[in-house]
Amino acid sequence: MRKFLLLVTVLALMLMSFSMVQAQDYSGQTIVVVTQTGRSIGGPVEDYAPEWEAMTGGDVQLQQFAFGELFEKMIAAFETGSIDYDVMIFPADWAGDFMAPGYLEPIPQDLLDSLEPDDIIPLYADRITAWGDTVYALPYDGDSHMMYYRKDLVNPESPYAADFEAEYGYPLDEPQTWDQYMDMATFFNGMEVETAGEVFPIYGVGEAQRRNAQSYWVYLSHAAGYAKAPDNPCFFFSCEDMTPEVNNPGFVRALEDYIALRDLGPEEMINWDVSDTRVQFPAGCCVFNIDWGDVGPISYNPDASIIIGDTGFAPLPGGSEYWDSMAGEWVTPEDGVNRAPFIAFGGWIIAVAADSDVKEAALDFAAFMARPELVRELATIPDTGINPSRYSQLDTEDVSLWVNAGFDEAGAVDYLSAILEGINHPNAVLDLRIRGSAEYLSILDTEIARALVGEITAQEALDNVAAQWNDVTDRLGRDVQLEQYRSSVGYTG
Amino acid sequence: MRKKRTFLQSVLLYATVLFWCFIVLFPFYWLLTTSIKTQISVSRGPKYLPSFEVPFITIIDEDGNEVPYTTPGDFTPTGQHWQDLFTRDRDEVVRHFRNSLIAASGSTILALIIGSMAGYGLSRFKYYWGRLGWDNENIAFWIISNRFLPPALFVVPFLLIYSRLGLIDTHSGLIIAYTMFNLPFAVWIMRDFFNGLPIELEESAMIDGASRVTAFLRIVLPLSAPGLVAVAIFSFVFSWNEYLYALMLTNFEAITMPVLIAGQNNTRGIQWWFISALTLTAVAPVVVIGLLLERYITRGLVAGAIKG
Amino acid sequence: MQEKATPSVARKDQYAVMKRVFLYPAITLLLALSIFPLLWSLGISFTDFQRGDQAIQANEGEEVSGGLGFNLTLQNYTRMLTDERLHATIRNTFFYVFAGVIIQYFFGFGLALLLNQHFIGRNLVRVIFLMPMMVTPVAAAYTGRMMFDSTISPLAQLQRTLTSMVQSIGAALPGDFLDNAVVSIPWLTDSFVAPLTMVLIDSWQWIPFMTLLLLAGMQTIPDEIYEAARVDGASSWRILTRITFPILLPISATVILIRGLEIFKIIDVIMVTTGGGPGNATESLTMYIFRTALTFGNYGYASAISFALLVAVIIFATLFLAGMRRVTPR
Repeated sequence: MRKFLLLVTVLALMLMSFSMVQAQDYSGQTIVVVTQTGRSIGGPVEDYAPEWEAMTGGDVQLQQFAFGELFEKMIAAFETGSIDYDVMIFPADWAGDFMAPGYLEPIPQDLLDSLEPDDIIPLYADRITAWGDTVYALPYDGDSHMMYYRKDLVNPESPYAADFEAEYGYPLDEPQTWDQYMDMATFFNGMEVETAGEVFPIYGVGEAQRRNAQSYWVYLSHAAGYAKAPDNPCFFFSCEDMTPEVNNPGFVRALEDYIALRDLGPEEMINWDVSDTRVQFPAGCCVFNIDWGDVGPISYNPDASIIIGDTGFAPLPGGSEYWDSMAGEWVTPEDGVNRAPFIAFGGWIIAVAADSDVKEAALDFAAFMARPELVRELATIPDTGINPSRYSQLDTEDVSLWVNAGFDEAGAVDYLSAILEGINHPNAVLDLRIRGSAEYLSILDTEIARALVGEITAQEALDNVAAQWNDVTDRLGRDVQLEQYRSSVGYTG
Repeated sequence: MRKKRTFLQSVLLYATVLFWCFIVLFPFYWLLTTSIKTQISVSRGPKYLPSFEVPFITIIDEDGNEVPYTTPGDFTPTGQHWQDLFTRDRDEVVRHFRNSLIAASGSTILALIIGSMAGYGLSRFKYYWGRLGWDNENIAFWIISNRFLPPALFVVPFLLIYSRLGLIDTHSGLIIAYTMFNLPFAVWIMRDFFNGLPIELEESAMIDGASRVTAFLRIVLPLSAPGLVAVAIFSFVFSWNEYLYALMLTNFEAITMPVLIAGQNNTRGIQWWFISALTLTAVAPVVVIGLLLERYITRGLVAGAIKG
Repeated sequence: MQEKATPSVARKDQYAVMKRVFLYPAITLLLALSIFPLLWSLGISFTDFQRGDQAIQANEGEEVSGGLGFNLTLQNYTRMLTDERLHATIRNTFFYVFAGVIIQYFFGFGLALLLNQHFIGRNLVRVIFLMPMMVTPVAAAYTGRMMFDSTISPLAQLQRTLTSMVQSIGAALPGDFLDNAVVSIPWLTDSFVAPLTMVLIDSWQWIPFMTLLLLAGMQTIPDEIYEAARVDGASSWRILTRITFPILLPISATVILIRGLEIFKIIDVIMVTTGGGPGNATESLTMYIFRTALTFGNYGYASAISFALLVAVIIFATLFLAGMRRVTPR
């Protein structure tokens, strides 16, 4: 048996060596890979490390920590010099804290060239993995927010379509604006509908609203449509002087929506993070859900989902109007919708520590994990949390990989085009990528949580955020922060 | 001679005992059933009772077919999660478990030795630190005040020292840290305990020619064995369950069970079934120790704690 | 206190050496491990040190200010006065400490009285009562979430069942009375209830600690005292308040102090169950310090908070111990 496995491995290696650079010899070197627990991100490392080990003679040690404390664990290790991490797989929005202080090794150009760079969506290749002009990481996973809905309920032929149209005056279909989204959620909330042969009441939405988790990303997805003007790259701050825009009428309106949604979802929703919504939405709790790409494969996983084939995928709705902060007025776009997909989080990326003792081997392993064939395959497996980051993964002409993974053809096309439309959108909004972003966003998170339970109004909450953001900016240095913010959004003005 | 209980009092007594047993045990029952539930059974819950297929017994259903008899219940159990733990994740579970065992026993033993010595010292000798103006009471208070320190902040300087000393991710590093946390409690309890032992016992031994150390080892310690057991249990439970320092000070070689349990919440969803199975795995040895040492725990604190 | 070795023994014994041998290992270990962290955080609390500053300045080839990368300042201490989030966490933490200690002491005492009775299966029941204490706090918190969730927990279903029962009673009654009544306690999702739920979860785990130590105390009370009281015709209540309770005061002081201090540092339960929400309702001090230090990298401010609290706790504990000593019968 062992011999057979060996033979298979050798054959596989021989096949691969045609497409790959000649394998180096790293025997005797151990590279430590650190990432979050669970199969979703670390699983592929566990599965494929033996292949790399056989190829190079090196050893891979995978260290995994709970997501909730992963950032603290990694940053404390960097700061105190107590680590021996070589390869890190981490969320791209930590770039400000990892890349700016120079904890990461710049990726050599020839390595980047070997990974079919033209296939990588530019957003990931040039912006999410880079700080300034230097690329510090390899894309592994693509992550952007999208909308999920029950397409067996929300469609023009649905048994509820007539009722809906009678009540709201327009046809029941995939919502294009947040107004429509709210209308449909209100319409369905509490209604007894059939799900997987059972009839039980359904909620309008299942969105993550838990404090200290992902709620601010979901909120920002709402806010982008109302507050991101197509002709202005700046969103969180004014690019003039770093004045927070977060309390302008567009943001406030989005927060009011988000607060209103609390009554259109389960009571527990305020305590749900995406860990919960990813369990509950496939279990048929709700009509709408905002989440990253993960829900797609989960909704086709028979162990977790009772709505297989009933899930609709769509880019985030937009605002029916948006606040133009430069002009200081509401603007109604010509086609009636201002789409501004929020590229929340940005995906898990692979980087190498600058003080690694085995840099060569670490870079080699990073490239091994980020190679196009592997990433393409991983994105279709429900067990992993790897979502598409390459054009070839979003090819709607050939969805065979997705069909093999349990999707039906129409679903796969629907899913891929929803992602593509989001990340390719000219008005897409990137996450806040400046130093101190953890603190800025935590402030936002806390005040949103207070507004959600009615401690304060939406306006008060966001005024508080703006005031505290100013404090943070002053503490970290306004000029430096402004410079970073400008370069992070590509402001040239 | 005990006052006889009336029938009503007995009923009340047993009812209260049963009620509290329910409060305590129901969460454990829930952990047990959750560990054999599929994801759907959790997310469409609550489900209370697994229905098992009984081997060799069949019944005839409404259509006249012979079907296996299943016990009544509202979900079909799966052994998959336990099987995963002990096959796919076996190495990982064993490693965490072994490390927990080493860290907890190591720090318990150290806390016992150093703590009982210091407790004895504070009970039997008179100290006066002139420069600070501290007597035994102040020293004891300073020792317990080490428990006031905020752990969340201290972890950073700990990392700084540990990385200099090469203690990161080592068993000894964790043992030293846990000993520091357990020590104040050990000293505090043992001091009270020795205060309750009559001093004449050692004095007569010492007049008979035994040294102070012999008297301590041969006479005082055996008499206070129950107290030592109590300290041992508290120390063990604390070190066995500690999370923050285990997370920050260890990476792989010395990592412990609580880190593994907390790690079951990842971006793919909370793995309730693994949390449940691991929690039960982790609690089992402590409960066994508790069962073995139960009678000492209560007797152990009798003599000491009472004096305060 | 008994430091009364008789002079003859003390002379024979190398008293001066021995007293060091016994105490100093503990002192040395505690000092060695606590002095650096204490000084480090005390020092940093007076600086404007911010994560990444030094590395960034070094990277950009700038002169690192003062050679250290930070300046001395009192801003961390002044900021505490105006930080609303801090004030909210202080309020929450005090609620946890007081509510937690009261509930745990009350139930701990009651259960200890119960276990002090003779009944069948007492030894087994004792271990059962101890079991919650042996669960990893992180896991206890997850278990708490499973129990108190408002959709998939057994408690939620119980509430739904009660609701339909109440409503069917309401339907049978004339008028609108009870027709739309809903039995629903928002355990984790309401700003007033959630803090209490935190206390309940913490109490489930730590009542056994109180029970154990109080039971130990009760068992030292000789039966003769009770019998004498009964001969005098004292009622059970009188025996409890006049004999049992006063004798247990010293041990009560110890357990209350220890539990109070431990609850003061509560973090696991809150991180897992509510993440500090809803709103700011459940965030604890330790959690805020953890965030400020490790997530935001503002070690100076986190240290300043810690020190202010350390002083407060020491004062509080000293007063508490002194107060307890005063009311304790000698």
